[in-house]
Amino acid sequence: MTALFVGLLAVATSTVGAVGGLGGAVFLVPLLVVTGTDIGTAAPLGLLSVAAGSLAAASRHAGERTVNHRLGVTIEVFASAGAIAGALAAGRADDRVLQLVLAAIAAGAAVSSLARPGLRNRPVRGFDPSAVGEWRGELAGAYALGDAVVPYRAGRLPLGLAAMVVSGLIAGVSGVSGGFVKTPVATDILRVPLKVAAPTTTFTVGVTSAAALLVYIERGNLDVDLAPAVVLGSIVGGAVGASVQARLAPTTVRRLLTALLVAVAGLLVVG
Amino acid sequence: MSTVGTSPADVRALRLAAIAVALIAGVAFVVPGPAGNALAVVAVAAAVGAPLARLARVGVGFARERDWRFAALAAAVLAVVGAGAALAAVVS
Repeated sequence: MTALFVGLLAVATSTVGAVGGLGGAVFLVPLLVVTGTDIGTAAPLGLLSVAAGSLAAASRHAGERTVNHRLGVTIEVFASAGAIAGALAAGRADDRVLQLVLAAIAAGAAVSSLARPGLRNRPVRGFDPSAVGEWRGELAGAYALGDAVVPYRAGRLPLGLAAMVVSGLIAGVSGVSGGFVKTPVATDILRVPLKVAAPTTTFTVGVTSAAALLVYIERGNLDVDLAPAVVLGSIVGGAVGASVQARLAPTTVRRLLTALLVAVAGLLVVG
Repeated sequence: MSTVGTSPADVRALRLAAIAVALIAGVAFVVPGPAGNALAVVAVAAAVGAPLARLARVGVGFARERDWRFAALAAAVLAVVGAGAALAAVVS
């Protein structure tokens, strides 16, 4: 497999991953495996793709104040612990069983996403525009939607954070990043708007993947010949995807996320 | 309202970091041999280090806003990541 081909795959998968806040590795790793790369090589390349894609999307998300760092670090305490446990256990789980479990999770998240059309958090006109961003001392904030402001507050933390541990485990074991679990958990359990959940997940999957990737690097499992192509491709794709995501309406992003989750489930079942 | 991680300086730094890592990876992609390999290692280190550096910066921002609970959570994440890397080194 040529580095150029891997780089092009990284561009495409990171673009799609950044739009839905899933991280591109959930597409990149299965595609690498299908095209002949063994899972032991593909998993750390997937994590590298997520870290690079997260960096690429960061400046846009920060500039729009859609990323909630307080929610991110709260999520990440649990997800990183899960990711490291998963990376240390990688190779001990049966690959096929793991794929089917991941497919079931993706399909469940798609159904959950589809079952709730429209916006949960309503735009408020006349809301102080200076409130846009995250709010000090709490897991809450607001984002701008046209000329209105949409305030939100995270809820049901114990359940949501338990699910984040699972997302971290998935990231560590499989290298696909837990983004396809984190974003639906943030929207459907924590009840954070998708316009905030996707950028916040993109921030957190960068940290989760870096944590798990350190473990793979310590073990000498990263293919250094393919790594530059993955980094370059993922940065290009992440920047493009974040730009596209910012231009789409929340309901469009949700429909797209549902379609992406179905595609993920299909890829995992077939793979 | 909090400006942690979203100030103009933060946005500029994040954009520059992404461009710098992309440039290093691009050069590593085209340069053959040991020099290319060395640059690839630098690109990987930068790609892995950037999210962690961003997290550290956010943690410092929380502390500056005296939002101690979230500053402690950011520090806890970095500690978990560090402990994981150390554990992996011991195990491998």
